[in-house]
Amino acid sequence: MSETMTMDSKAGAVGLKHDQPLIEVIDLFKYYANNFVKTYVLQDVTLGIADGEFLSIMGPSGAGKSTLLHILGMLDEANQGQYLFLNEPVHRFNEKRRTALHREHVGFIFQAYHLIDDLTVYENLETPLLYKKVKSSERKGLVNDTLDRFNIVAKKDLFPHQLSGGQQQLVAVARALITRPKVIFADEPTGNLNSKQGTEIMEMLAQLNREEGTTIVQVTHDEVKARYGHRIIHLLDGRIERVEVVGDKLG
Amino acid sequence: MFRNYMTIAWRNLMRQKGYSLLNVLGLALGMAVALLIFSFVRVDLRWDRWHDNSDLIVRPVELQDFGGDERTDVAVTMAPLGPMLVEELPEFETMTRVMHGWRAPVLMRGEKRLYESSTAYVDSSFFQVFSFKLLQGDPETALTRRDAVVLTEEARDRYFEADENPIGQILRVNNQRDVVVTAISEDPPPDTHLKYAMLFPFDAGLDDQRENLDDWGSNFLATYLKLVAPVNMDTLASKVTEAYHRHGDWAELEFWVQPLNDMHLNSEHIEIDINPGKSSMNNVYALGAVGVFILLLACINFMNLSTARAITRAREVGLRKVSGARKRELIFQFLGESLLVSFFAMLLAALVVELAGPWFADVSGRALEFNVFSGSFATWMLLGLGAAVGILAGLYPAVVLSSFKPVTVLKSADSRSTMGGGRLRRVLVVFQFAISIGLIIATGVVYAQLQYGLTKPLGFDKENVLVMPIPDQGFWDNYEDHLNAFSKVPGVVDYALSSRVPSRGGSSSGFVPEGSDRSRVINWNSVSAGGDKVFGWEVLDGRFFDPELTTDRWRDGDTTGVMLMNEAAVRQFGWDDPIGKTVRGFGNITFTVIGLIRDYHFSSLHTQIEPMLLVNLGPGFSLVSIRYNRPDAHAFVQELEAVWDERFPDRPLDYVFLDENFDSMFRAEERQAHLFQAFSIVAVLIACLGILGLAAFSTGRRTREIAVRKVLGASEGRIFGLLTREFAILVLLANVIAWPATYWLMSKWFETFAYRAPWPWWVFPAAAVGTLLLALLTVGLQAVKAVRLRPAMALRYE
Ligand SMILES: Nc1ncnc2c1ncn2[C@@H]1O[C@H](COP(=O)(O)OP(=O)(O)OP(=O)(O)O)[C@@H](O)[C@H]1O
Ligand SMILES: [Mg+2]
Repeated sequence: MSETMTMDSKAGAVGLKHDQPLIEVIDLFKYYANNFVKTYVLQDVTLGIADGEFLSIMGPSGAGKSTLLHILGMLDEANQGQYLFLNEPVHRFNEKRRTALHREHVGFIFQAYHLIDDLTVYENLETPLLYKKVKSSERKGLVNDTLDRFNIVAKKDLFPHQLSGGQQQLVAVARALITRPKVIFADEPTGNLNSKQGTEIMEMLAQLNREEGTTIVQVTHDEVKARYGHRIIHLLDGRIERVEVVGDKLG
Repeated sequence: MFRNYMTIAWRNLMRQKGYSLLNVLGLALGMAVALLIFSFVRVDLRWDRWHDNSDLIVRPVELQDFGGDERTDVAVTMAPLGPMLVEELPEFETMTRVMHGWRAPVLMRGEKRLYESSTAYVDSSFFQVFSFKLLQGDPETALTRRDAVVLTEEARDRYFEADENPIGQILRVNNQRDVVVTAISEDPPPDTHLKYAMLFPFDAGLDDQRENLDDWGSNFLATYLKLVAPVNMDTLASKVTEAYHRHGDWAELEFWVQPLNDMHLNSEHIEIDINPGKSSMNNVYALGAVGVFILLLACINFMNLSTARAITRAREVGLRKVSGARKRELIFQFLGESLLVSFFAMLLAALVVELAGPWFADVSGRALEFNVFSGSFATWMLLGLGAAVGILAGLYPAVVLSSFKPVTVLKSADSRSTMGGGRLRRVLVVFQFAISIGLIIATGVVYAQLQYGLTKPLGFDKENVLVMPIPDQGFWDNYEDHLNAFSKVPGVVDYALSSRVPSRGGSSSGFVPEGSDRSRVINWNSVSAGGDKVFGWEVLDGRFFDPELTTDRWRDGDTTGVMLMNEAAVRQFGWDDPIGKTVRGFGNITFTVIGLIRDYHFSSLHTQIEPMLLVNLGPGFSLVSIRYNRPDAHAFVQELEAVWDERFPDRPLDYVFLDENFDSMFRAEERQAHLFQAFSIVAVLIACLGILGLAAFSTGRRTREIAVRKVLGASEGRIFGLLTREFAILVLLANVIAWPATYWLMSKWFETFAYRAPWPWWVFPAAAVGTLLLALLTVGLQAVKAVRLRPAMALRYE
């Protein structure tokens, strides 16, 4: 009971006042032990993310952005601290439950558009649905809708190596959101793309956030793209240096 | 989901055709060989067990135990034993005796006259004890009339046309008496020790030996009894012994009872045994182990290649996990892939078995039929192997793959460096080569022993001797004239009559040496004068039978006679000088020892040379042996045949050469050697396929390193060394492990021979050099490819 109280007050401290909190992390630590020396990658990270928020994370290389995103996306574990997702204590979950929660609510986009090489575009999109045990007819509908929406119907039978980088990333984004996750984590989703392609992807994410209320957390090095978010978290040496609220968007 | 898995499995196989092919080939080879071996072993395990109530059929075995090493098990019995046991012991329901003909009779029908070498005289209850099926005729009455004959299908086809009904037809035996076909039996299957082409009623076999029917002192036939219900064998044995002692008078004789189910695999220690094709549990274990080992080799290849390749699948695993895959689902996926591979291997193995089956049947000397595609044992076995191998070999890679952490494998572009498993792979390669080397050494040892057996001085001269059976009639009336005619054929050096040839042991009977009242069962052979020259026996002391001395030849009614004995007999009797001593035997005839001959091998090298007595009994001869000195054996036989046909127009000449006859004793050992050779070749092949895959993989991964080294100026030789050194070390390590283990195992094998070849030490270094060269060749091919690659190519594409 008292835990919740503390959490609330901490969440308040980073300035989130409205909406229901989707994610809350409190006093998160992550380190790598090498030769008996602990190197801290994340220190004392406390952060709340509201349902429906678009959050950007910035910081110099090595600051711990990807690490934080992996932990938030339940692909990795913190060494210390609490992680609540929809009020569920993820930090107490074993891997199996974490995977289940991840499968249910999370979509992930990587900087290097990771697609399964041996599967076609269609099959790549289908894979998360298979793991969610979506019925065949429904699956077909969802994949076709998504192909439509991303304008890649013509490419559905191609293999990843037959696509350009931008197209591959588009498929990766499409795959992340085909299961209609509550939240999408994107680690430098436009890092390897030219600016036109990058802008397209960003517009896509913003639209998703606006129209469907999907929560988005992105890591970026690009000041302009960071401003697609409602807030920008600045990380430095594993600590939250400051939180910037993008004026005209919040409230 | 399943389709998704299969799609990716299939595309993966196709993308890496080289690995896939190696995988499938190795596995198929392993499965095929395992199937061949397991089918072979299965025959041994089911031998004679197909009879209904096979667990109720037993045979009495005589145990003559003189204490110390002098224990002799004899599985042939006296004639009155069987009927007496059924009469006196309520445990037995019925019995049948089986007596094989001493001489092959000639059967005639119209123009056809043929020797029938596989005849037996059996009691009328034969078909109540054993379950050979009758295609025609009544099993109850088939053997009740004295002039009956039961033919197998195979024998029937020799005398009758397909459209004839053989039942009630007449065949003539030895041109002496007529017999009536009463039944047609199926051919005895390959997996029985009871082989026959014709069965005659027991009575008909004793024409010239009616006195033996009640003789409690002469062992010459096999007795089988059927129990009413299962009983304790030890209790039964003592009852049989007691019953015997109420009639027979060998004080030392004891009986034990052997179930039919034990006969095939548990009779090695029985010295006198009518049990063709018998094997041993040790053989079954040894072969089974070889089968399992070869299968294991193939599985290891599969595991090694799959885990090595796992590295290239790591990213896929990470992505699937991020897409929501559960660990269990990934395990299923990779298991499915390995099942797919083992399924292909299974199909290929089926093909290999279909093609190699006849060859294997030939080499193994077993009429094995596989019929892989028709739902036989082989089909199910192969399906089972496919599933088991797919799961066993796939489980480890599946578990390894499915436990990759997505962040780890996805974060770094070069995920390869983080993957382990190399040490396990090396251990397994060492294990594979150790097994291959062990098999090579074993092959060498088996061959050395075979060669030793074929070239060992045997104590008699088996070359240039022709043996032919004495015709039953028309011979003795005028035998001196006949023999004289044969001896005139150019090239004949000498001839002798005998009851058995040296390589076929003898009959055994009870004999009592001078100064003892204890009878013991000893082998004897009846030989005429001249036998020493024909068979090349060496007389160490005294003399051989003299043709001029009529007293040297025993005739019906004589109460005395003379004999020779071998050194082993002298040892058994505990004598210093046997000459002039006497031995009592054959009822109550006293033989004086006139000579001592050097021990000669009359049975396989597995057993010590046993005591052997040579007597010269007129009525007991059944063979004429002729020593000749012509190189053109074929022409010699033709000239001999001309003389024969003139004198015995009724019957064709039937003959064997003594050396062939003797070498056939080694056929089992020869087969064993050939099988070992074939299996060790397969094992080495599979192991090489394995390192070929690994070498291709590791050089593939090191392409970039090799390119960099070349740019830095490394010579091609150095790079070649770099790539091959690791495997060379592994193979050498395998030798270090294989040598002592194989030495120990093969020493055990050697111990089963009473006469052993010296250890063929050279096979150890030969196996080492051979495997090393093969491994270097295999790996070297890959290394050369890598060395030849121009650096720019490698660096550009990495
Ligand atoms: N497996 C590991 N072992 C040791 N240290 C690690 C490991 N993984 C990451 N690190 C360290 O953690 C720190 C944070 O890494 P992270 O990938 O989160 O940085 P980042 O902010 O995403 O940088 P970039 O902008 O370059 O992607 C780095 O200093 C890195 O060296
Ligand atoms: Mg990063």
